[in-house]
Amino acid sequence: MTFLATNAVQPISPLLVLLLAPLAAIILILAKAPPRRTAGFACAFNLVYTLGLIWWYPAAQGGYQYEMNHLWVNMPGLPPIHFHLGVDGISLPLVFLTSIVSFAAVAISPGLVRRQPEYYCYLLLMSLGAMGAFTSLDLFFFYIFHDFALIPTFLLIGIWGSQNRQFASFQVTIYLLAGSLVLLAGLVALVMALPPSARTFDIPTLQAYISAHPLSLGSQNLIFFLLTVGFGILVGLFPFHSWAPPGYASAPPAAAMLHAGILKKYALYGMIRITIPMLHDGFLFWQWILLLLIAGNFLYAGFITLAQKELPTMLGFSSIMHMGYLFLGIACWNVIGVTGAVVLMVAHGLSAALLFGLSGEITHRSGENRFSELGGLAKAAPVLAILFSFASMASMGVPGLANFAGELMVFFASFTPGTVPLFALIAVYGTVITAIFQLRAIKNVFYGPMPDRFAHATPVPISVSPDVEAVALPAMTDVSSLAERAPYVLLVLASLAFGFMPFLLIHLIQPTVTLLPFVR
Amino acid sequence: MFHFHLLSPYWLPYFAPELLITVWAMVLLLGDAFLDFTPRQTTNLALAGLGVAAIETLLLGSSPILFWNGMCIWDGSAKFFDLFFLAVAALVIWMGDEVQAPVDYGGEFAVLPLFTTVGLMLLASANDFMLLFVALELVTISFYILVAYRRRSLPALEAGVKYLILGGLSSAFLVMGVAYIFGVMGTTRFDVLVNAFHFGGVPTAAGFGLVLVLVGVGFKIAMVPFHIWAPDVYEGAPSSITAFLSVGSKAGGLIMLLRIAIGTFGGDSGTAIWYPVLTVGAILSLLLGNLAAIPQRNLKRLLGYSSIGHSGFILVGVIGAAAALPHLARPAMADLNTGQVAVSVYLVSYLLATFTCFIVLALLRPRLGGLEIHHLAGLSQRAPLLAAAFALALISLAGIPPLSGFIAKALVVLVAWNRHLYVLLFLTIFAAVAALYYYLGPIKAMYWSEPLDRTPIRVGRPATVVLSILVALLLLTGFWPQSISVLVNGAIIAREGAAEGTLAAQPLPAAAALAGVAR
Repeated sequence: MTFLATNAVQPISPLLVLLLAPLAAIILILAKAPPRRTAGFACAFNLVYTLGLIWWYPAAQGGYQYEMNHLWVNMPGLPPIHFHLGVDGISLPLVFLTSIVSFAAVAISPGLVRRQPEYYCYLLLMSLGAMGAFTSLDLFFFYIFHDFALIPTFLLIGIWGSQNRQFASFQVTIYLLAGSLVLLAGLVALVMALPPSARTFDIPTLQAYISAHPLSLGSQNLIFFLLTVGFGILVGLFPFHSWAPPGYASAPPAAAMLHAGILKKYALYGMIRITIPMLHDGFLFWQWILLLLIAGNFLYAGFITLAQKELPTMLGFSSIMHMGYLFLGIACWNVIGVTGAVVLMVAHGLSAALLFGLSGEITHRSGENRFSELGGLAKAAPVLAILFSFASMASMGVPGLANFAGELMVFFASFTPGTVPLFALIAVYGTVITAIFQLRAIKNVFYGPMPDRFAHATPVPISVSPDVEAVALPAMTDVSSLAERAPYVLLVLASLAFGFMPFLLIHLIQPTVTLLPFVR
Repeated sequence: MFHFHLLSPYWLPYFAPELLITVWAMVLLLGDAFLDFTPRQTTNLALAGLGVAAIETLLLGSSPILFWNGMCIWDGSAKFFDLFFLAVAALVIWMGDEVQAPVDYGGEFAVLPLFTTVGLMLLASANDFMLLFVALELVTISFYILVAYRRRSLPALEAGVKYLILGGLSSAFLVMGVAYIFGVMGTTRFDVLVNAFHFGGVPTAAGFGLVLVLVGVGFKIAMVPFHIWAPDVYEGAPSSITAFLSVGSKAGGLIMLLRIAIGTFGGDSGTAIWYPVLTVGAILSLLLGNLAAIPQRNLKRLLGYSSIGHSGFILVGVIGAAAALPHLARPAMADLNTGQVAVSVYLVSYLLATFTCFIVLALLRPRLGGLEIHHLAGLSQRAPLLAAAFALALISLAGIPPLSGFIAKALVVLVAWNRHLYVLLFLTIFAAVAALYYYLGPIKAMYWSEPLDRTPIRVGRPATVVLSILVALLLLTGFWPQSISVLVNGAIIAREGAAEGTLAAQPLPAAAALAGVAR
């Protein structure tokens, strides 16, 4: 099977299958195939297929593989657009993340959800958008695949969300689309800053040209600003983060898993792929401001997380706070920092997906998400408690789980010469904050006295989610069957595997990172 | 040497579509009166006529030619806009018969749009203010009838009166402006004017005339502050006519604008006059159109305001097509053409999305008992195809990928950036964000809310087919913009700016050079 991995650009890339599988599943679902099974099968197929792609990827060599490149649009006055697919050691782990989290998101979705076919189509569309964005090597497709995933997000939150879903879905969608419009302006500015003959949307070509002829400092500063604001909004960088917590709190668990776990990584991937390597002088100009904003993520978002009284909102803020580590690793722009950031992207994707999925289980099974009303659930739901503890420990960065490996590398990166150790201290402080709120969440949800109504069915009508239509709430139940446990166990196992054997990821990522321009 | 042209009518192929449709429309009117054609027969015959005209137009080349003593011009833009208007007319006439709520219409409802179309096509190839004005009046007068066609309904009459008064006013402005220009320059021919401006600049009085002409054009494209008629008329007119106004009349105004502002007054002194006027118009349209749409509850009014906003977006493309922006050195020709490509692409994408919207609305109107947003509640469960088509059209209008509207907006952003129109660039983005809010509103109603009445809404086969084609085109042009480029590639007007300085050796000869040949 070595023919799969050659440097030559092939007419048809094996990556195309990753995009066609969800598409085929959507078509089948529209043609009345059983939605949940079809979606699950497509995602499982993608997961296995991705493992194959990783296996045959020449990790030691790094660089783009599995490429296909066709001229897509050639219009007068418009730089040529190519349909250019390809992955390297940075995007391949994210492709893996996409397929595993998509599978888990479909697997945890309830079988009896309202308007089932639509629901699974939207989940598949989100997964497809993320997959397309990570495998595209052309700015046009890189951009549209991500935006493509936002409309299903809007519908998922709006139709199947809970709490304040109406407001939240509008807020998330408009905020994110506004961010991507700023991003669009930045990308257009980047392409148009080149002389007409050199203009292209093709990322490797663009990179090669810019490495040989760097842009003027003025345009670098401006374009870096636009791109960072655009990506910053999408990822929830400090002053642009307010969309995320209410959005994630209201989203159905599967949508929150897909967005917080995968789609948010798109912006960080864009920083690594486009912003910093192409606009390095601009990066050096803005580095301080960027670091200060990152500190804002750690401290401001961190303290707000501490004050949260509801589980989903707390997780929303904590996922914003953790973007700080990722951004810090990237902002160091050295080999260990960027490698650590990519490791952490995968690790955070796994742990965020776990936490949002489990929080959905808790809310759904207990009918409650306020810390003050929860407690003692470990008695009724021991497996849930164990899984949640694993997820929390991963999120805290406890050794043995994947986040630890990534965070450690980011700490090391920010202590190497040419960086600012102060921010490493803030980041370390961030782990303390995380430990506080995560442990408190475990204690408040699973330990202490259990309110009576979790032990017996109660006739009190509490409607937390529109899906809970029962007048009498059943007693708290555990994730009992194998099918219910499997997706969470899969995510925990993946996190454990990368925690004990971080070299699995590092060997894949590092050779490509050393190829990045200007990396120290 | 007029007789010479009659003896060897080399111009005939370029004028044949207009001629054919005019004759055909008269035949159909008579047939309707004396041969007892049913409305359905008239409609089908009208569509057949449009089809023949479209095939004829497709066969023509796009190299520039002047004819009729320089009264008419044929070039890539004329071809593009002719085809555009033919497509619009076909959709309008088809809608009038197939989709519209049962009104007591006669066959002339299918024939009058043919006259409008002839007017619009003449507008696209006018090279003289006289022809331009006559063509515009043909358009406007047939619209007066069409807008108020439901003559027993009060809103329709109100719309008709508003359109009549404001349309008359705008024509008056236009004629006044033309009079000023003729008074100073002694000619109304664009290419002769170009020559005169090229050597002597634009005299003050002619500049004043230009501003008055722009006011007249501003009415047609619903540019703020000349937009007041749009929401009321959109609400009152039958849906097919609303779509016609929204797409056809706007495109007619835009080709006028391209011919006058970019083609005729495209030199330094001319641009200095219209650039501030159009910039202010674009800024106001972007802001008012998109912000005033937010509180609208009636879908046709909402689309009316959004159409004002879209004029703003397209105007950015028009301004970006100018050769002689005051703050910039002359760019390369390729950069200039991007502006016109943006306008054409925007119009195509706007056509697809707008007609999808209005076809859906026309189908829904009799079945929902109203066209307020709340009437749409739960539509996705009652009529999945209609809901999906409407949602995709709105998403396209909002400019979200991967639909057609994204390519259009991206091109406008690209043009604005390329021509250093930073204020417009910022406002374009701001307006696009504001627009998201009101475009998502109806989607929310269709997909989130539960329907009060669960009976499925049935749609006839022809409507299903047409809607599916429109939606497929929306997606196709979004994912594969190359498909539009076949249409818009040559859609470039011959322009004055190109004749100046280093740009003389461009592939498209300037109108002035052609004028010599034709004379």
